[in-house]
Amino acid sequence: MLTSERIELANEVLSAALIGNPNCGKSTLFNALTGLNQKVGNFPGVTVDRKVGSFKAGERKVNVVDLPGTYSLEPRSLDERVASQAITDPDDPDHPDLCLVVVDATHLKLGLYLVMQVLETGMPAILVLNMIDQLESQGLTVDTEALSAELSIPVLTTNARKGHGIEALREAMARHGLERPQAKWRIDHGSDDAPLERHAVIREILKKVLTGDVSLSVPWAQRIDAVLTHHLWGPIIFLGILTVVFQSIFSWAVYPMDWIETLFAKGAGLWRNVMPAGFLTDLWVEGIWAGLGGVVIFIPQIAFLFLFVALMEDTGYMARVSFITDRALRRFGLQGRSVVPLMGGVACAVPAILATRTISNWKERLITILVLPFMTCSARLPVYVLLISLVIPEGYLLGMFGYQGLTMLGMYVLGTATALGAALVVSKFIPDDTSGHFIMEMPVYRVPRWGNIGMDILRKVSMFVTHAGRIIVVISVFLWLGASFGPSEGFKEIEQRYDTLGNAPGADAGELDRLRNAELLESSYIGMLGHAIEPAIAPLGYDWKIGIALITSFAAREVFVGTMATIYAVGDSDDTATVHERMAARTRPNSTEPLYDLPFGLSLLVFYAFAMQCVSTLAVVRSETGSWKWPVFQLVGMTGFAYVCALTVYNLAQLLMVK
Amino acid sequence: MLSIFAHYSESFLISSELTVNDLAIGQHATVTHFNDAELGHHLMEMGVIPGETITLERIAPMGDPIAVRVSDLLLMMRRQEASMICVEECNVDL
Repeated sequence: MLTSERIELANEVLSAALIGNPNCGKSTLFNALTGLNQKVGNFPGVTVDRKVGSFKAGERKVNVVDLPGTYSLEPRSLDERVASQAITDPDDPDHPDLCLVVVDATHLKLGLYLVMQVLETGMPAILVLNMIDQLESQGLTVDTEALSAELSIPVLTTNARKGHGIEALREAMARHGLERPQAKWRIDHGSDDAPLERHAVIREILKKVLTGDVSLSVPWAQRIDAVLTHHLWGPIIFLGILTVVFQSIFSWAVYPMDWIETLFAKGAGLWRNVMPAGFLTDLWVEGIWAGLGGVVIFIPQIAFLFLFVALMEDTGYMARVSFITDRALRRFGLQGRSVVPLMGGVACAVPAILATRTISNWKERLITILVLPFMTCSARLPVYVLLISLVIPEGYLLGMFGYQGLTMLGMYVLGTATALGAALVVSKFIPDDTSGHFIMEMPVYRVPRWGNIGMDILRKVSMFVTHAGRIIVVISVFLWLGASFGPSEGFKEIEQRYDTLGNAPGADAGELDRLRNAELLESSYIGMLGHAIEPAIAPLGYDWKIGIALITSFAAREVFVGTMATIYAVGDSDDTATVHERMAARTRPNSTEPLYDLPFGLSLLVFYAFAMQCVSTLAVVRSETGSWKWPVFQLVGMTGFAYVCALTVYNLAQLLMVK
Repeated sequence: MLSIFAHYSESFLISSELTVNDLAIGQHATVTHFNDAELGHHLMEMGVIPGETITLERIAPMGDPIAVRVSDLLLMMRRQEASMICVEECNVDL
């Protein structure tokens, strides 16, 4: 049977590809084959996870790539196109010498369809029947020898979860002669009836190889579905799970984040001790080291969010989320898998954008990424707290709802509503490159595979650090340079003046330091930029001081508070109350009216709600969309929108105040 | 709600064919043909082929999408897609 044209290996390295239906256990098999010897990247041109690994099969070194799950070689989505192109196009960089077609034994019929298509291309292949024990527990047995004879390729059984059959699979790969299989059937590929013809062949094959009594229905799974997709309990349970996810990234992740902060602060002190004082040390400690800290700080939130996303995917629950939320989200161009990332965006857009990879439809994924930064992230919180306490009066509506609390709630509602509205708008302009049909398998419930989940988290974190991390470090270094340096004459003059003041008897060194830093920031390059943009932001009610803070906010929005602290020479940047005091004491020139009044506060609140002011988010969008086009679109679109809204709010508020 | 109504009336206008949308929860039917060739091709690849038994298993909280079982597969699809799958009643005991 296996006599036919043989393919000679160009070198001693065998390249193999794993292909199979979604949920067939392909990833588990990949992990079982390669262990930790794997890395993740993107397929060329698209940001779909490309996992590659290598292992030894006998004398052969095997490089294996894990292709995205697909039901057919006729692609309908970006993921599927990647998979089918690797198999059908000999010039594709991932075109393998040998295909491992993985089939979930409990979905034999569906899996064999893909097997047939692969064999019709003439690719050398091995059929891997995974989860064979589950089929047997249903009372069915597969005659693998008969199946192998029918398909004219080797057939092996595995249970990747338990590691069964992995060695035998390695051996089969070592032995494989790379013969091109000769399909025993003829399919008219151009015909609309091709699927029917294939299924007719499959029916014949199954008759010969499958024996036993079918006990198809899985009543317990149906009972779980009856609860999880119940019209009342379904949404309630989902909201409960969302609360836990939110809690984890909003509260639990704070502990490891504090440790990381402490670690980097200690490290900075250590560097200062061992390195000579000077520009290079400053650059390393305050620029690069601090920038690295700004990357590592995201890891706990990424890990927590991915733990839950992977858990929901792995157990099969995520498909149920899509099921119960689809109707509500469809009109916004979003889908059920968008919910968790959007919710995650309330903590931080960075891990949330990484989590959008769970959305396989590229259009829906792009929309989710684009509107995510509108969600009220936790970095906005300190800014909101400061501004609200500054301009919103204390007092209660109807004696029970505090105005300040209501405003805070309003900011969250504003962020979410804007995200949904923006999704509605951009969905009209982004073309859908799929058939637009929404047909998805609802996989059976499974116990989570912790090994897979752990690997998944590890991969996401390492990908974030290597891709987006680099951009974040570079931009933070530039921001640091801009805020710490300025035209040298101005800087020298300030330093000299404060040195003289410091030498005077009875000088308060701490206070002088704070004043010096305030003046240095004002005459730094970013300080000059703040002055330069004052004419542009004056119509919104902001002065150059706010201008500086808007620019430094790009490092992270909460830096606004720290910058105001420096400008107003407040010692401890965490001391919001004192910053508040100093800002509240400012009055307009020649008047007793506060400089930072209600119209100003509302305008700045709106600006912070809408403007794209976060380099980390921009970096992640760059790495997740594969081009600078989308982050630039966000930067211009969101900031422009913020400007117009802030302008409107400022003028409206002033009009109303006069009345 | 309005859109669901509009959608139903539309499918009545096309023909009086029975589609998956007309099934009640738990009701079985036999797939006869598809009113959309491309969608039909996709569905047939996933094993939804004329002659197969299709069962409406669940309806989402907002009435759409739905989950149907075809042989060993549970598929979710929107009402729009379900309206393209024509069926005839059958009396099978699964």
